[in-house]
Amino acid sequence: MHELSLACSLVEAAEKVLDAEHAVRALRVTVGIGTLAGIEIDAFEFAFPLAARGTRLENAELVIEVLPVRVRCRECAKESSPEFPHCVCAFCESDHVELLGGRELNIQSMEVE
Amino acid sequence: MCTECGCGEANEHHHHHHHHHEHGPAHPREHAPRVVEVQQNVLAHNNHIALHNREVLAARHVMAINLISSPGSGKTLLLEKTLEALNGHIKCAVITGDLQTDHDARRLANKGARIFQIETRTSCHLNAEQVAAALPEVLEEGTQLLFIENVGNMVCPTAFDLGEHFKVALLSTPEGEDKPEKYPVLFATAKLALLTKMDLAGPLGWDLTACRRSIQRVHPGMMTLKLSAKTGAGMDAWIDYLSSLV
Repeated sequence: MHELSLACSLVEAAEKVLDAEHAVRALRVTVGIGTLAGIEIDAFEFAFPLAARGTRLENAELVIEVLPVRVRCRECAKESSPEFPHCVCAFCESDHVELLGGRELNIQSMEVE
Repeated sequence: MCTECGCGEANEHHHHHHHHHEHGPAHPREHAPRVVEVQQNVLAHNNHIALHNREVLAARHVMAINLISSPGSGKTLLLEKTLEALNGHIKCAVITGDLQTDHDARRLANKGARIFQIETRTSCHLNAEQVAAALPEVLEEGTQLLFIENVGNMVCPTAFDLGEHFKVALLSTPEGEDKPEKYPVLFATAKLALLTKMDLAGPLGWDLTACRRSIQRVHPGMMTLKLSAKTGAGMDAWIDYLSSLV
């Protein structure tokens, strides 16, 4: 439900990058989305062209990289990516873990001209 | 340096880029496609305003709590009873968000707290900008505790930092035991889970152990309180907890 406003935020943030680059348009935007970011990727892909219409991102390709949940175990000190949505160490199954990643919503890179 | 407000935040606009036109041949290909490394949070603008909200709250010594749950889980009744219990002890304020109507603001009125209603119209969540506009209206001299009652929704509000100190997730017994695993982001993000409508647990055959297990799977070590705002059972622990914050 909130994917359209996130897509609008993406377009605004990407336009600032275009300004900084003195670029006339974006050809491709690569976005990293964590599995714990709470974003429905289908809805986000659907919303992006609507948000981009009439901007320098119109017709840009949206590439989404799904970023896994990453935890560091406080018991065995290993880092792992447990199976979503469970937040336990993949090695020793301890639930005494620290969340390192998985909530991202980042522009990774852009192809501009 | 932040170019939006001059606050000195440097983390927003930096990116590495390859300026072919600066270092390229004598006739630069200005419009040749090139790849720019960005690594910037899409919600940087919202997060930036949230940071300012946090500064406003810190300067005024206000603790802010963002209450998130599905519609009908009992946020407003909990707030009614909470404001009544804290009236005269801790000075509270409430920002309450709904798609439409000021019904919640009316229910919360005359309990010693200033109330500010945000009607989001079409939006399913509050954002930092709305809260920034509400703060000067709702905070009074001596306000200690600010409740932000988000729009009833277990998904969207979790993505938007409002500048609160922490989030509280409400889960009412009629919603079932396994909501934490079905909506893991909220429960992974919130500091405290409030299990509400505990007076209905018996009639519904609702299983506390199963619910606790579901919470622990998505947020190991999460603090949990159970209460019924209607009967008052468990409210003391919640009020004691709030009192410990200010």
